[in-house]
Amino acid sequence: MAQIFRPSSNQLAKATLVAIPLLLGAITLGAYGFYFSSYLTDVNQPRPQPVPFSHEHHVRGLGIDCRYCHEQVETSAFAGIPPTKTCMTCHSQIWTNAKMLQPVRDSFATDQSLNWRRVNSVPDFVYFDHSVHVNNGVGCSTCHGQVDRMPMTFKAQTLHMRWCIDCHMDPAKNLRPADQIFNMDWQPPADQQVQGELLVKHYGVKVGQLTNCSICHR
Amino acid sequence: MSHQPIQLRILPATPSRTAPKVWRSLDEQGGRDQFYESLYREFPPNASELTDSQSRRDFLKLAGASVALAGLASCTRQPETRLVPYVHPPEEIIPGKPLFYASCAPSDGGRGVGVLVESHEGRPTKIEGNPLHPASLGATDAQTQAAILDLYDPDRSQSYTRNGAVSTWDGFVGSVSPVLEQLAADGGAGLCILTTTLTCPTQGDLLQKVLQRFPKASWHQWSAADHHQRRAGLLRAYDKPVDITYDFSKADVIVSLDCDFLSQFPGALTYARNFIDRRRIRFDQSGLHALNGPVNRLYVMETTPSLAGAMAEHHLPLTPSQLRDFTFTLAGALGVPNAPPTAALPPRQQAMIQLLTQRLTQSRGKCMVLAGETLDEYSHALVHQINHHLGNMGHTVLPRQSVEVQQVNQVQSLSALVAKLQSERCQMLLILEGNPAYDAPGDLHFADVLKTFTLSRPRQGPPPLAIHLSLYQDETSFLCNWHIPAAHWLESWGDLRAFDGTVGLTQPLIAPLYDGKSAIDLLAFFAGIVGKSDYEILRDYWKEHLQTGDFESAWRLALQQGHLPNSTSPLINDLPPASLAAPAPPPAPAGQMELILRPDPCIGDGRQANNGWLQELPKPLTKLTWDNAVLLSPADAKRLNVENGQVVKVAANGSTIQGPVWLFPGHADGCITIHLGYGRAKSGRAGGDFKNQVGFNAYPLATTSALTSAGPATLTPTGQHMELACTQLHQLIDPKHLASQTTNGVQTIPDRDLAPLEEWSELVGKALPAHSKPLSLFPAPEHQWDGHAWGMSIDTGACIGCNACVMACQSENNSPVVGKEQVLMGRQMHWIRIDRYYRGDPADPQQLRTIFQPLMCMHCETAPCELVCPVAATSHSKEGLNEMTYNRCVGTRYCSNNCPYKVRRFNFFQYSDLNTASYKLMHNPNVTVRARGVMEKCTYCVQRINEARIASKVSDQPIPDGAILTACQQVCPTQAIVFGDLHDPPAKVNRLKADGLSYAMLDEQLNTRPRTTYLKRVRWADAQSSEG
Repeated sequence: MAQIFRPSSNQLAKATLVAIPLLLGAITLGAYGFYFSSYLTDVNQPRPQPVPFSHEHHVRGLGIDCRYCHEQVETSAFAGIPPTKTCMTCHSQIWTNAKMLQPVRDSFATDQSLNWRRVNSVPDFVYFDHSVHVNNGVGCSTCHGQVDRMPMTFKAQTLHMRWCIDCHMDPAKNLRPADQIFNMDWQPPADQQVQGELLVKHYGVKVGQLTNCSICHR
Repeated sequence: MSHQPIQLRILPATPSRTAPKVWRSLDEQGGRDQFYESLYREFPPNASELTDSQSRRDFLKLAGASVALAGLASCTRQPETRLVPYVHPPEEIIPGKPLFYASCAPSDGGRGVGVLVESHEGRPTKIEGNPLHPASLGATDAQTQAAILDLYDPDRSQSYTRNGAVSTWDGFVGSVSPVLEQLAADGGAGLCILTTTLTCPTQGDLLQKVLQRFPKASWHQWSAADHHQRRAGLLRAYDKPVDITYDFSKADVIVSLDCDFLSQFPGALTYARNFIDRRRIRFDQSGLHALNGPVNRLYVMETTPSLAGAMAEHHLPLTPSQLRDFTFTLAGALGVPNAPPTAALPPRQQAMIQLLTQRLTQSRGKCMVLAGETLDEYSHALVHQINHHLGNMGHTVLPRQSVEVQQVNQVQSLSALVAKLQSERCQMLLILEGNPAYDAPGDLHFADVLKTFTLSRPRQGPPPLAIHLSLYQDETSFLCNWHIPAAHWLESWGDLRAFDGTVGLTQPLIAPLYDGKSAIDLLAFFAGIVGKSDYEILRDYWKEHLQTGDFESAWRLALQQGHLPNSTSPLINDLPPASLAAPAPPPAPAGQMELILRPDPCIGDGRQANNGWLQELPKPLTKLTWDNAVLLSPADAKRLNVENGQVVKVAANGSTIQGPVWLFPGHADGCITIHLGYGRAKSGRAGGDFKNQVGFNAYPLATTSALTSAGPATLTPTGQHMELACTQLHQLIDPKHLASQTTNGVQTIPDRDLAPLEEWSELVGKALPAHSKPLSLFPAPEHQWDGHAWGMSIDTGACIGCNACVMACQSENNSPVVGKEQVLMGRQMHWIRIDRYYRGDPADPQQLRTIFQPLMCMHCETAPCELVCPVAATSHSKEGLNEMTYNRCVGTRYCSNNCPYKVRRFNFFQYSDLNTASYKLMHNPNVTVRARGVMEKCTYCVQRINEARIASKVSDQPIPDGAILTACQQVCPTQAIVFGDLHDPPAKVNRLKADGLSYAMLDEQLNTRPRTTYLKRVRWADAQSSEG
């Protein structure tokens, strides 16, 4: 009976010893990459909407403040999605026949809500509150990115827990003065860490409290 | 391959089974195995072991596969969700912020209780008391809390039916209108209307309009468990509609003759508050002080142990016939004119008569005597005379104009209706709510009469028609031609008088879910009013009757505050004592068991039978769930040779029923109690139906002449046995077990830790030492508290055991219902339980003391649960909260195992109903609805803490003391629970924790440093002097 393993099998065995860790490493890297890929996180993925609403046009082009539409962002957990009536404050006067705006006019006429696809959302067991963030130095663009450069809205951050905790452990690197909250172009100054520490004191942020589980989960 | 379930024998070899001074069940008192099994195990045998026929190898295979597949679960994408904004936003709604609307809930005797209903974007989710309403003072009872579940009950009637076929409101109007025209032609002689007790002025006005249109029509009233003896006694004593309310804030001595004024009584919430306010005390360096005048004294003679009896200094168990003699003798001893003569009483009763006579005569004008439903109407009238004689009228006992639209003897009223139905003088029967086919007294055979009526075909005239307005397709709907789904009170407009006559306005929180109609809608149709909504009818009525200059602003203010100003029923100041000449009927024959029928303490007369929250709510004293039972004293059980769960036949008044026996310590010997409301033949998935009955129906035993105290009964054991789901053996805190680990079996936990009771005589004249806090050998906790430090103080002296907190917690925190089988395994999910302890010998019920101790997570500073969690799902916050993070929990249950207070609850199955559409509307959006395999427990209502914290961070204002009310604290009628910030020195909670009566449970033994502490209850011995 012939030998099952030829001498070349030795080479194969050695190669396998090298290949297995390489393969495992590749799988791990691949899984890691996949986990943070925009396929899973939806980051930078614009979604088709019933009306192709452009933040770039309305915010950058026309200079409309965030709070004109997201009016309750300073008072409620939920920033608020503008009711059709808000759209119609302008669009009953301008672009009244634009085909693109037909769903808006239909909604207003038939009293049926517009049905937007949600772009930024956290899981149901996370209780995020907009009001406490925008009143304590967290600007819109910190989480939502430069919305004024988005012709179609997309998610700018992963909204992973790790990303939340990163700021909750050291909010100083992201806090900005109260008059800059809604400024889309705000960039951290060179001495942000120093300024941020001062702002932490100014806003009365108790940094140790921010990592209590019940701050977000209840 | 079958496997024997693992049977762990964990009983200690030689347990020291001496009869304990403080005990929770007769098994514990008697030192039986069953108790020790429960004590040393977290769950009953076989409830926590894997008993499926899987082998260990199968288990490992499945476990391996689960772990592998669990990895894949993390690769799912977030499901896409939608954002659906308003088209025209309502002015006042800010999505994410709840609104509160004042409304008025029907409560005992049809009386209104003011409520504030929390609404999230148009969905009512939680009911709170209305602090401005005199019958609420900010509190509600368990039944009102549970009304939210009634509203969203998927078993509610969802369609109009005509002889079983689905129809519509228009179909009803089209078909009934011509019949009404015909009836109107001859004055409506053939029309009968049956309502429940009416305290709604607008409905009363509409009824008058109906009776104007049909002058010969008759109006009858029937509410099954509605203080019939009390009403009859008032009519007998004064011969005109009179109501009586009580002022407990002025009473020094209170004598209750089987009257439980703390629950199931009109005005109970207010009475409980006023009663407990007179017992508030402080024990500090200068001694014991009463805070609101001298501490009152309560003497209770009772048949079935009640909440009032548990609070009493002296209580005396009596059978109904003994109670009657006792009342007569008391009247005689007090010198009431025309008091009926009685034979001499046994020595104990005689001693009590002497004591009461002395106390009552000493406090003339500052005492009160109350009569309960086991007394007949003659005794009730006699008790009113006693109050006249003692000069209490106008001081502590306040006669008022009746708050009912028409105060009638309802038994006679219903009997008259039955006679009409039988004599073919009735052509159309309109039943507005109520369920008489189920809850009418047995000897009226109402269901049979109604069936004969609807099936009869008279020789002339149209066939008879029965119409039923009801929330459910129930026993009565089944026998009626037309069924109309009723709108819940949270869906309709209305008005209700409170126990003192204050008119509360009911406003809808949501449009009717199933196109239901309110009684106002239906009466308006019968009155021929067309094209007016119930709101317009209500508003027009009050526009006419509200004496005010500017109606519009007065109306808006009334809607905002929930009640109309100055609408209290006027007092009757010159009410003469009635003369009682009527001879008393002979007492029940001796030597037989006397039968007592009472509404169930949870589901009432059966109208809330399909409410899972109330079904699973342990009854305050027996701690039974999901069942009623034949309750009797341990001595009687021994004499009859019956045990817990043995099914007996009960024969009384010519009817026989079967039910399981339950031994009730403190129950009077010689009588049995059965709770009504169970054994529904047509209810729903919680209340049961004729195929799958929940409990047994005791209404057949009631008769028109004997409703509550239903005469002699005989008991015959059947030899069958039935398992009853009683929670008193679940989640037991174990003093001896802990002690055996420390000092070799010597009981080191003082009694006061488990059932805190101090004798007043031992406190009086003493004072709290300046440094009363024991020095600790243990090092200070490692945690550094930053900012707030939340803590709670619970006054066991103020806790009346009413269960309102348990229901409020369930409603606020989305706790699921698990069902009877799971309760039997100790898996009920309530975050608060009220431990009920007894002190004394069950053989001597007169000396038996009952103490309630509400128990939820203690938020220990050195929490044993946190140390053992392998995934850090339970952790400590910087503010001292013991946090439970559901999404981290993997369900090892180590934490629950390590909790000495036994307050953690595990979701063994998917208990929360995630699929039923209506329940999705019901849930509190600020609390996670837990999934299977997750541990949960009291969070100190962290969602409310966070709400206040965020508001304070947004407004830059500190959180004021009292701004955060936990759900249990907010609902408590006696304000026994106080929550606050321990770092805020003036906060009320700190004052209470510094009191000499305050103690931390099990802290001395385990050094858990619980954030929740208790104030001990003080037992006020009988005393002539006022103290402090």
